[in-house]
Formats: sequence, structure tokens, C-alpha cells
Amino acid sequence: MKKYVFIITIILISCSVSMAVDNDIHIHGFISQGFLQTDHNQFIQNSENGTFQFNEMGLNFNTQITDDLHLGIQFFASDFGDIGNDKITVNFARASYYYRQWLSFHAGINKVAFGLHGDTRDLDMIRPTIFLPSGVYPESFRDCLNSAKGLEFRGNWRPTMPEFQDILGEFNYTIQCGIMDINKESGVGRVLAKAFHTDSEYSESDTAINMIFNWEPPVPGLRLIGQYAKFGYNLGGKTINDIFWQSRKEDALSDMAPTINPESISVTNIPVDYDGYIEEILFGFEYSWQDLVFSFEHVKHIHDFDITVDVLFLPDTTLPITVPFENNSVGFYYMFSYRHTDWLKFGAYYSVFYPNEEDKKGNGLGTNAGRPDYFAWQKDSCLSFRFDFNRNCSLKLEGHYLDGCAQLDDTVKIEPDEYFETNRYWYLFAAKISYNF
Amino acid sequence: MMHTKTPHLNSIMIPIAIWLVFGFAGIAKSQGPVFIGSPDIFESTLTKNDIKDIFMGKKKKWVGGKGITLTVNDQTDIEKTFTKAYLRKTPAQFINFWKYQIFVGNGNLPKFFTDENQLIDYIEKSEGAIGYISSDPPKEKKVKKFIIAD
Repeated sequence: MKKYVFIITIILISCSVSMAVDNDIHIHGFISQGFLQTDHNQFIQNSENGTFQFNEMGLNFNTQITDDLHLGIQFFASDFGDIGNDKITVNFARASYYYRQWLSFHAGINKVAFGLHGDTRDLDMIRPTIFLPSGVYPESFRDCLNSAKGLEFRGNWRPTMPEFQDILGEFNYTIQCGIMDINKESGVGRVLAKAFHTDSEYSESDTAINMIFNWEPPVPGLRLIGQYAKFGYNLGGKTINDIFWQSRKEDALSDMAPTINPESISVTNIPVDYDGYIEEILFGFEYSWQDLVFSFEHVKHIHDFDITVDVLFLPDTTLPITVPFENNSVGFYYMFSYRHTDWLKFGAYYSVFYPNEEDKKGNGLGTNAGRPDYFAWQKDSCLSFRFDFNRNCSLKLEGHYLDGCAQLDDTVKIEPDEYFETNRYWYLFAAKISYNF
Repeated sequence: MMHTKTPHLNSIMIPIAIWLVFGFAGIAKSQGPVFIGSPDIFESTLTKNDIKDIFMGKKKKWVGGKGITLTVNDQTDIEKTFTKAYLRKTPAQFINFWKYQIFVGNGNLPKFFTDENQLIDYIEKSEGAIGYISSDPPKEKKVKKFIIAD
């Protein structure tokens, strides 16, 4: 019901806003509706049969209070299979104070800057493709890594003397500090619970720090980016009964206490707690020449946790055991887009993601236990066409050829016995129509 | 040897000469954008980087501290010339850039005008406004014409 009220509000405001040209409060919004179909594998719920559970809508209000002070708020709702479910959230709500070109402050709920395109994830009208390359921008992360409550500092600087400008170019920076809402139902919560083979019961994050630096060297059209982010995270719940935990127990017993009867110890369905941090290191570049844009980005996620398991010695004795857990995931992509005419743009990318940098071939190390080897990678080749009917309305069509399923169970829960029913090679077709004002 | 090369050279040189004469004539005829501002603005000279920073929303205040009000001349030819020469973007990329700014909370959309006279009137009556037009503004209009330095 709320979804329809929200849609009607956007439509009513979009009709009236053109009349309120000189209003001090500026109102903008967007709606996009997509369609998804896969030939194999459930990318999101019911995608094998085709699904419309793929939409976004946003409504924002901006006003310039003084020459220095700007206020803005954006309400947002999206649906992506089981993620989002059209729940209305605040995308950003912030007060911005412009001090100088090299420094502005933003306080409140800020959009989290990530890579070249991370903060455009909700904005279908901005980018050439429907999906951002999932190797660097996993869809499952969007609901909780989009916004953070806290502070942001940003600015840009170039040398004042022209001769140094010719050598050094221009620098831009964004520094963010705040709290992201990573609850157990969020995409990140689900991905980590899956990685830890845990039925999560609680999830919380600590203050995050995020720093992005952009350098525009004196090569026209070239932009280089570097980013570092870190946030603490705590997740807990109960271990699930699968081969992962069984094999952990067997490994531990064979190493430490081979005389103990394995039947006297249980490691499934017992309390487990993960406490640690996640770091993200990203670098990349974008080069644009007239209507052609080429970009590359590489990201590494470092997970460093202490796992505390309350091992149960049957019948009723528990012994907490803490072990370290380290895992690095990596992803990268190459993408180009070209605007052929005012109404036609096409793009293509090749994106790769490895959830475990140490096990790119899925030999069964770490988190891949109990899954086919092709859950150790996901390679996505995408071709996309964008048709702009006018400045406010566009249609996109795109096809993906995927090898591997590393991110398949980020968005859809797969039962342990269903992993071997998936297909290594699969196609995804997506269409999306967007309107903005 | 010379006799065999000369016609070949001529066949290259003549089109180049034609292109140089008519090409440069064409370039000379096509006037770049003229930047105008509200009469209350202190600055008279802007650099190309100033123009880029202003129209990309990075520079938001004039020297005196007054806020900058952006206007965009939405006529195809002059917009194309302006975005290419000063921003190294196509008009579509420029519009997209500003949509991005709006929907991530970085500011307000510039005011778009499809009628150049309306744009000039708006700048004349507003404080701290800047815009570009295809030729010099009418003399009776109290707007400032900026000198653009490299």
C-alpha cells in the first residue's frame, strides 16, 4: 500500500513541479521499473520465470538556505527480489556547508561514496547499463552500504600557478565517517552469514571510515581513483548443519585431539559470534574521449574476524573456542560505453569476482566447502543498449553471459542440497524503463 | 624522379590548402560562447578553469562571498560548443552530471533556458548569476561580459 502511495505522490509532484519553477524548494524524483529473466539459476526470486520484482523510486527535496548552506533529503524505495521490498527509506538527509572550493562539510545521512559509480547505484538514469559490474559493485550490498549517518568532508584543489597546473592537474577528495545500518536481514548481513555458514540472529556495525581520492592528471579526459574504507562488524547466531562445520570439526579433532570420539562433540546449531572488521581497497581509472568512456576498477575486501564457537561436549558441557578467520575477496571490471546518437548509447563490460582470493579455482578451501567449484568465481560479460526517448525517459536492454555462481546465493537463499542443482553457465536478460524529473 | 613525385604531392597539398583556407574560415566564423554575469559580480576576468569549476558545481561562491547562480543555455549548438570547449563533455554528459548531483544531494539543478533573451533578462535581474550566450549581449542590458583568460 505504502508503495502505491509513494508512486502516486511522485506522479502528482512531477506534474505540479513544472509549474512551480521558481519555488525555493526544488523537488526532483525518479521511478524505474525493470524486468529480469535467467535461463538457469535463480538470480533473484522467480527470475527463471521472469520477474518484475526489480524497481526503484526516489523523491527528493533540496533548498539553498543561504549562499553557504544547503539542505537536502531524499526518500527512496526499491525492490530486488527479497532485498528492499519497496520499504521506504531515507537515502540521504543532510545539511551541507560550503566553506571554500577545497572544503565543504556535510552532516546527516550521506550517500556512501564508493568507486567511480557506487553512489549512482540507485540512479538508473545516470549510467549506461542496468547493472553495475558486480565484481566491484555487488547488488546485494546496495541496501546497507548506500547511506551512512555521520559526517562528510569533500573538496577539490589545483595549484594556482598555471605552470604547476600543467604538471599536477587537479585533486578531489571525499572523506566520510559514520554508521551504516548493516542489520541481519541486509545484503551484507546475509552475505557474511552465508560465508560463515551461520543462521544469523544479530548483526551490528561500528563507525566506518571511508576515504576517496580522485586525481585528474594533465591528460584531458583521464581520472584516477583510489579508495580505502574500514568498518567494524559483529555478527552472531547459530552454526548450520552442513558439510562446512562437519569438516571443521573433523579437521580440529584430527589436529588437536585424535583420541576424542567425534560423536561426543557437536558443532552444529550452537552459538557462534564473529567480531572483527572489513577493509576495502579500491583503485581504478576512467578515460573519456568525446562520446566514448572507458573505465577499469579493482577492489579487494579484507575480512579479519575472531570466531567464537561454543562447542558442545555432549550431553551438556560447552566450551567457547576462539579462532581467527581471514578471507580476502577480489573483483575487477573493464567497461566501455559509447553514445552513438542523442537517443542511442551502448555499453559493455567484463566483470570478475572471487569471494576467496586464495581459492580462485574452487578447490574446496575455506568457504567453498559443500558447494560446486564454480561458486568460487563469477565472470560476467555484459552488452547493454540504452534508448533515450527524451531527457527524462529512457529504456535499457541488456544481456549477460555468466560463468560461475559466486554471487548467486547473495540474493537468494540456496539450501545446502540445492547447490549442485545450479548451472555453471547461465544467461541473464534485463530490461528497465526509467523516468525522472 | 621529381616529375613523378610532384603530381603526387600536389594531390595531397591541394586538399590540405583548401581545408586550411575554408576550415579556418569556418572556425573563425563560428563564435564561441560569450559569458555574462549579473552586474553585482565583482570579478571581470575568469579563467577557463574557473568556468569549468563553476559549471561543474565545484566553485559555488564569488570572491565577495556571494553565492553563484548557474544558468544553462539549452540551445543545442551553443550548448554543444560550450560543453565541449570548456568542460570536455557532451551536452548529454553535462545533463547527466547535474542529475547525479541532484540525486546524491550535492546541490540544485542550474536554471535551463531555451530562449537566450530570457536567460539574459534573468541574469540581469538576479544576484550572482552567470551564463553563456552565443553572441555579445544587447547594449541596453545591464549584464557583465566576462573576459576569459587561459
